[in-house]
Amino acid sequence: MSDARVLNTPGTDTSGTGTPGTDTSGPGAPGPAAHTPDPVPDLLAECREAVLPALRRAVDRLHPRLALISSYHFGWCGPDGRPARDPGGKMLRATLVTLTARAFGAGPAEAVPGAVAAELVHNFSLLHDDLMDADELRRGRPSAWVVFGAGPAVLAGDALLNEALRTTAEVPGAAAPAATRALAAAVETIIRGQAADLELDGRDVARTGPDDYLAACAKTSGLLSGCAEVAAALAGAPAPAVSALRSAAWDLGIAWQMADDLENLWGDTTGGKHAYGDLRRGKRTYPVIVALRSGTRAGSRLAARLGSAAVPGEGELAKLADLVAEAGGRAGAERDARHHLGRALRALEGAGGDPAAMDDLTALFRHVLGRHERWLSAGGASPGAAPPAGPTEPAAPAEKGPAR
Amino acid sequence: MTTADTTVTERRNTVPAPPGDAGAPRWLRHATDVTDPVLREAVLSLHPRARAVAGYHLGWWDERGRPVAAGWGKAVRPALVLLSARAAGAAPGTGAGCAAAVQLAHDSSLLHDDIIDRDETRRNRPAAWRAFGVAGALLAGDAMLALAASLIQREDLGAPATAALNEAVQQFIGGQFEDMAFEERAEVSLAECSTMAARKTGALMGAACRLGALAGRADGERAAGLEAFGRSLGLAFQHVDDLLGIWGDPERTGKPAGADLHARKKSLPVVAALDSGGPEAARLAELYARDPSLDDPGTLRHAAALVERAGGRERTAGLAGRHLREALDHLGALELPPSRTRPLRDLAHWLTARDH
Repeated sequence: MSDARVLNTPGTDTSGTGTPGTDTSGPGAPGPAAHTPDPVPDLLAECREAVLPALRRAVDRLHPRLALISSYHFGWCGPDGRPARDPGGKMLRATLVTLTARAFGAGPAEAVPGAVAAELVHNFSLLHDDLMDADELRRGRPSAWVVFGAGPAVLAGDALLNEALRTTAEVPGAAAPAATRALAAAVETIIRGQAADLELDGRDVARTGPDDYLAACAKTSGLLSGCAEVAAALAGAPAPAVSALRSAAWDLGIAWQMADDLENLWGDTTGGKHAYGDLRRGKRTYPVIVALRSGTRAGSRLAARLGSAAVPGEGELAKLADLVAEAGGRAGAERDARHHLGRALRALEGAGGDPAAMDDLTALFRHVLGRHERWLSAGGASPGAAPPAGPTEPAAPAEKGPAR
Repeated sequence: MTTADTTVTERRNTVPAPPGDAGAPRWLRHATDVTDPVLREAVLSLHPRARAVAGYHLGWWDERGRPVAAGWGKAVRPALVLLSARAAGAAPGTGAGCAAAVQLAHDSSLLHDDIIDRDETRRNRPAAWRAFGVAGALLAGDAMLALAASLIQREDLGAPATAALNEAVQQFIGGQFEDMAFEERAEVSLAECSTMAARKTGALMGAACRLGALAGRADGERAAGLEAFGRSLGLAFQHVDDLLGIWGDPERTGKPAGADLHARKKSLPVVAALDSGGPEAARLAELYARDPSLDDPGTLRHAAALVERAGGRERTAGLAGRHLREALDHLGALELPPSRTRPLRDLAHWLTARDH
């Protein structure tokens, strides 16, 4: 049933995740589409209203300069501290926390600290990731390390991480230890994922497989899963529910990563010019890995071209993308992304919880994949694609995609 | 022997160590022995890449993973944890998890500090960022901080323990920031310098003592008293560190003579000297404004002499002595049996009388 819902839900205007104007409806969704309005934009706005003030208060507890750097990074102000006209951030992870908590009986008072902690951890990781990857842009603006210097950005990230742990620890009542443990574990998982991600692109092309991608996926899945677990701890959800929620969030993360990789290679771009950012940088994204492991001639040709040190020119990039597709990389990635989304949604169904709130949570899951739904909603396989034979463990090289 | 050549042990702080303080090195070795296995187990849980960096930094192996025994410092903070637990009446070895957590938090700050300051050497070896790159060292520092938090959680000491570590980490991050910011400034006040030292060093040592007290099931008042001891000791320790940074014997400290001067640090002796308003202060300010790459050993000896003549050495030694006395007063106020506090007392004396 849930897969059918994925297929049949009319394209939602994912003003949160998609580029404006991108058509996100599934290709010719069969059957009568239910025209229920998408609840997610309202859910996001509601969460933002509840959580943002608390998040800002948490940041204000930092050393003033570190608070400024963090505020700039969050998009709340310019480098000089002047408030931004349109303070950014959809706070998806915060919403994941509040919805999950609500589904298991927790109110805003209990859930908000968890939501705050989730956003703090997410942004700690972005601050440090941008340094580690030498990314000069974040959300369309110069990265914090570019504006304020690497040293200050290191410290701001450290401070956000520490503040996140403090936030869960200060939750009143008996939930604090479990919530803090869950958060600390999530942080360790994220870091492990980032380590795997740093290693991924340095690996010999012939020795890079789905497991390596999976390991790097922990960068994203770890936090999503952590959000679910922190929320469940705050709400006192029963153990089977916690397990199901964690698993669902983990699979969501992988589906997201894979869908993002697909987007990067074959997504529409404004103006029709394709960026091929990942290929340009030689990143081992999931479609690429599937292609390289396919044992096809296209795969070998791809390996040879990626193995050469030469930076691909513009024309070359489109050819490389074609090779990936020819070697089954696109079909394989679509298939596996669908598989993980399906698992995520089934796990959600089995988690229990208040039905209305779980419906909202499911809607949020789909919203996260919003503009990617077309990769996931095609019921038929692409021509030539074999049935899934790969590992059932989520495998996705954690990329920049979900880090919004 | 010229003034500039005398080490800090010869020009003492004002509080002489009691006889038989050979106890302190023994307690430090004990702390190392107790904490090292906990650290190793924790680090083994990291991703291999982060593990490689962490283990290198902790002196267990070289950059290729071949075992070495370079050590991870004097284990001062772990000793404070364990001895505070002991002072609270706990069985020996109580607090090992907290000791490891505090050491990890401290080491995480060193990993990041070296990146931030671009310091190429740490504990007589290339700094981790030199051996593994900035990304690797940054990541390992993150991993160690997260690990520290997890270790505290595992101790099941509740919110006060988590809060103790979090608060101290918050403080030392702030202190690191200030320290970094001072470099850009021509003038730093004594008050700012002291505040920075309190955050950078005092806070974590205070937290170490508090965590030890909590592990030893001490009541709130005892925990607070032990924390106050640790904070004051941390200040004394930092001031001694600052003295060694200028006048320490390179063979003992492992750092070149006058290293802090060469780095143009606004350490307390320097700030106190600059604050003195005399002719030496002006000459020191001029010297400090010059390009460090022009320094030779003569320049540094001259700078050290200026700091000393302007009273920077004496003031710092005096402050170190004062903070040591405060620390010992806090300890005394706890009214614990002397045998329980003797090790902490010995450690405090040793740390402020040391020459490296």
